[in-house]
Amino acid sequence: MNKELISLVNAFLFSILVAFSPLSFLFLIPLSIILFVQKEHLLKIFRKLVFLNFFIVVLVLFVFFQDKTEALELFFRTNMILLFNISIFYKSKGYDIVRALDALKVPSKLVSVFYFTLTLIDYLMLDFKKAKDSLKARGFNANTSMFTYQTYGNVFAMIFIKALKKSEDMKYSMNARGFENRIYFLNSYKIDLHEKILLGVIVLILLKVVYELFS
Amino acid sequence: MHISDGVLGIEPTIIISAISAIALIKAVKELKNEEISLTAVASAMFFIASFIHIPFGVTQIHLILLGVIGILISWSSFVAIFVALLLQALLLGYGGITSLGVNLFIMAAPAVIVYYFYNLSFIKRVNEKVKFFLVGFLGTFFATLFLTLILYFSKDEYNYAAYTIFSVNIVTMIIEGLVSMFLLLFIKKVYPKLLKG
Repeated sequence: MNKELISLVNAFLFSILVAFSPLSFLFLIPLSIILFVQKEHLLKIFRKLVFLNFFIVVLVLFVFFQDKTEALELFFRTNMILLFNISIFYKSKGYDIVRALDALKVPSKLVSVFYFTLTLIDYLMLDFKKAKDSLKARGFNANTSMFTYQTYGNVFAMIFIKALKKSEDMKYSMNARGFENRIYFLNSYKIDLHEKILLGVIVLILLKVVYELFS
Repeated sequence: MHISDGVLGIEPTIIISAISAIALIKAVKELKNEEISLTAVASAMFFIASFIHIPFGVTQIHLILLGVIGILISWSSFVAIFVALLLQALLLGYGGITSLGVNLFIMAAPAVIVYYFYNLSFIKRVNEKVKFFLVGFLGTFFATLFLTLILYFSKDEYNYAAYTIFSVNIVTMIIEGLVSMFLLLFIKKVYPKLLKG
């Protein structure tokens, strides 16, 4: 088991635990551990959490008028999971997730799509930013009009075609190097102590919940 | 359009995730080596579409491009959208891990439906602009419909939220239709090979 895989497993187990079992104060233990590890970035993490609450708050408000307890439970559940996952992957650029999936023996074709997608996301973002700057320089003002929607449609189509060309180039380059459906990764085997503790704590809480469920 | 972790109960999550898992396995098995790059492009487009806000009156909407993805890669939409959703859940906090299967169904099933709709013989005779508009419109329509139905049938408390989400998203469907229409007209003009499959 490698470092990336442990993070993914921790995120998965914690999400299952909080999403599907009765709320408990015990869930705050793994959450506190991960927040302590990310203590330098707490402000940014909480800012992101507030932004992500838009859809959740709308749903919570609807539920609140029918069942206040259910609404509060929903709010805490979703926020605990969100906070845990955005903290655990706060520094991630995505490539560690690909390595984790590779370690999980996910089909190599799927891992390849993941890898290409990550590479293309950076490329597309840069291209879209350039297109937007270029539109700004020409005095384009986005508003509610057919012209705006046509412009966005054309820009999307343009960057789509460019991304396709780029991905085909990547494919040819990899084929020339002997790529046959599989990308090989260098895995990091150094697992931090807090990750082991986190996994242990989550597994213990999960076992307790399962025991209580069947006893 | 994403459902966060903790919103749905265990039963709907398991049932819908199982359907998505079967479709994903089928899509991965059928994915050919030469289709990997197009699938990755579709996945990256879906990922970044959530950052791009299109103005509508005093508010803004973001695109999902499900119809466009569907007609370009058909069943591989399950692979492309799975990859994008997992990255969105872990890197951005959109959606979630336990709700991944449900979100995959909400987003990828409409893409596949639009693919079959687009290839119906009577649709081939429809005016090109109308056809391309419907590609974008129906992709978002089915995604909203599935999201609404899942929320509606999972808990009584979500009924009002479900109605509201559907009503609010009618605007998104129309804008998706228009942007997709212009996008596909551009592709047809510049890179027609892509639309011939």
